[in-house]
Amino acid sequence: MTVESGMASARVDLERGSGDNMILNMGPQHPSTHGVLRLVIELDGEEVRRCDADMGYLHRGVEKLLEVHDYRGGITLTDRMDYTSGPSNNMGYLMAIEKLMGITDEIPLRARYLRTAVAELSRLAAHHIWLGTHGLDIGAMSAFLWSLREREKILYLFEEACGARLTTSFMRVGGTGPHDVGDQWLDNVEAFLHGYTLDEIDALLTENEVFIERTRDVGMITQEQALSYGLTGPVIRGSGIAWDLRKAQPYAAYDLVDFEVPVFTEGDVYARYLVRLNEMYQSKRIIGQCVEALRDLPLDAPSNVDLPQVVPPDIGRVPVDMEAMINHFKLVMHGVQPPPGESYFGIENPKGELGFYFVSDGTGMPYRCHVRSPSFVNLSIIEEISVGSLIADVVAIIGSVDIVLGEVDR
Amino acid sequence: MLVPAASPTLTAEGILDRIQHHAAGAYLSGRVDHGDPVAEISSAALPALFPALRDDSELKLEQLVDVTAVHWPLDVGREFQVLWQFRSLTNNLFARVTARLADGASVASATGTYASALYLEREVFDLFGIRFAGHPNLARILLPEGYEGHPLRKEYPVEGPTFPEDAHRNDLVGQLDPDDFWADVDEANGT
Repeated sequence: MTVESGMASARVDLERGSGDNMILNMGPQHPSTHGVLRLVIELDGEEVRRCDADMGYLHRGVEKLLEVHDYRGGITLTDRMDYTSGPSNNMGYLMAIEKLMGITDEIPLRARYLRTAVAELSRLAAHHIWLGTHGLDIGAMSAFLWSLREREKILYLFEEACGARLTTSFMRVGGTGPHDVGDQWLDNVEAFLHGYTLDEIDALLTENEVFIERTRDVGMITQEQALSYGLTGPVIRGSGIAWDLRKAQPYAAYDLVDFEVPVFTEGDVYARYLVRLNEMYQSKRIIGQCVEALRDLPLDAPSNVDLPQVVPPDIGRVPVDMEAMINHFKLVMHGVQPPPGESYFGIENPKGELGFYFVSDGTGMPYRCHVRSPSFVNLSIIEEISVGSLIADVVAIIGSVDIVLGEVDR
Repeated sequence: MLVPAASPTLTAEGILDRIQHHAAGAYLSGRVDHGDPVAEISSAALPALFPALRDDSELKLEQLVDVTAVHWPLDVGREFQVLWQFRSLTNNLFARVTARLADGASVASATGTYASALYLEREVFDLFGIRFAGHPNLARILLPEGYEGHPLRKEYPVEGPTFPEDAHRNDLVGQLDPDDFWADVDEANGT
C-alpha cells in the first residue's frame, strides 16, 4: 500500500504496517496538527503502534535567504518563523548579532527593559494561542474564544509600538532602533495588565474533570528522554528539569527583574499545561516590573548604543551635518558589518531555546546563519511518546508540545 | 527534580581541557570565541567522544542542542565544517565541537548517544548532503523526497534551479531602453 500526497510524497514506508493494523494519514490539513504537520500513524484498533512525522510543507529556505540579506533585512524573515511570537524572534536575532559584534554589554538599559517587556508580551500572546487551541483540541471551546480575546489586546499594543501586529520587525541592532515607546504606550500596557486575568480560563480548565481525564498520565516524557531529545522550554520544565535560559544565562534585563520558573515533575500533558499557565502569571509580573523600570528611567536616557557604525544618526542631523550624512550613507549602503568570526546565541522563546548561529566574513551579509528552532527539536519526541497511546491522545500530545510549523520548516 | 547550577561550574578553558582529555590525539585546537569554548577535532574520534562528553562527571553535556554545518567551497579537501553544540543543564555549560570534512566524506552519527540528532542530522543531510554513518533513517526531512541538490551549499543558486533565466532582474535591467525610461519619467512629471 502506498499513499501519494502531492509534493511531499510519502517518505514513510507504509509497507511495514503489519497484519490487520491500519495506516492513518493525519494531516497536513488537519486542525489539530496546528499547521501543516503530517503524521502517518499505524493503528492497532485505537492504539498507536508507530507514528512518523512528515514536515517541510512550509519550507521557505530561510537560512539560504538570510545569506543574501543584510543583517537588518534579515529581521523581517525572523518573525515569519514562529509567527505566534514575532517580537521575541526578532530579539533573539538581534541579540545574536550583538553578541557577534561584541556590543552586548553596551546596550542601554532602556532598550534592555523594553526588549524584556516586549518578549514577555509576545510570550503571553503565544501562550494564549496555545492555551486556546489546546483546549479546543480537547473540546473546551470557551477557552479558545477568551484566550484570543486577550491575545488581541496584546497585538494592539504591538501595533501601537511598531505598526504591525504579527510580522513586527521590532527593534534594530544596537537598541530599540526607531521603535522607542512613549509614556502613552506604557500607560496602555499598564491598563492592559490591570484588566488582565487568567482566572476565568484557569477556572474553566485546571479543575475541569474532563480536561484532567484527557491530559493526566498522557504523553509521558521522562527526564532522560527530555535530555536526550534536546527538549527545551515548557516541555522540559514539565518533566522536572528547572532549565530556563532567562535564569541560567540571563540576557536583556532578566537579571534585573524578579520572577520564578514554574516546574512540574509529572511529565504528562497536564504538567506541561500547568507549566505554561503559571508561566503566564510570571510573564505578567515581569512586564509590570519592566514598565515600572522604564518609567523610572530619565526622559533623555538613550535607547540605542552610541556607535555610528551600528545605529544610524538622528535623521534631522543628516542634511546639516557632514559626518552624520556619511554615517547614514554607509549604513544604508553597506549595513551593519560585524567583524569576521562565528558565534551562537540562544534565548528562551515561548516554545523553547531559539538559537542563531552566525558566521561572518566581515561583509554586510552573514556568510552563514543557522536557526536552531525549538519547535523542530521538540517535535522529534512525538514519534516516541505517542506510541502506545490512543489516537485521540495524539491530538492532546501535539497540543502539549506546542509546535509552530512555520518554525519547524523554516 | 533537576535544578541547574546558578552559574557555570567550569570556565571555558576548563571545558576545553576536559574535551582535550577525552579526544586525546584527535584534538586539533581549542579557542574561546565570544565567550564560548570551541574545540576543533578530527572526525575519527567522534564515535567515542559523544558518550564520553555526556558521561564525564565534570562536563555532563547531556543535551546535543544543535548540529549544523558551514560550506567553504574554496577550502579544497576540507569543504565542510560540521559543528555540534552541547549544553549541560546540570552544570550550566555550553560547548561547541567542530570538525572539517572533505566533500563526499561521511561522519559518525550521534544518534546512539543523543536522540536529538535523529532530526538534526537529517536536516544537515537534507540541506548539505553530508552523510552521517550509523543514522537509522537518513532521509530528507524538509525537502520532498526526490529533490535534487542540497540548497545550503554555496554553489546552489538562491533563486532555485528551475527559475527561468530571462526572469532574472539583472537581465531585465539590461533590456530597459534608457530613452523610454526617461520619456516615462518626463510624462509622469508633466514636462
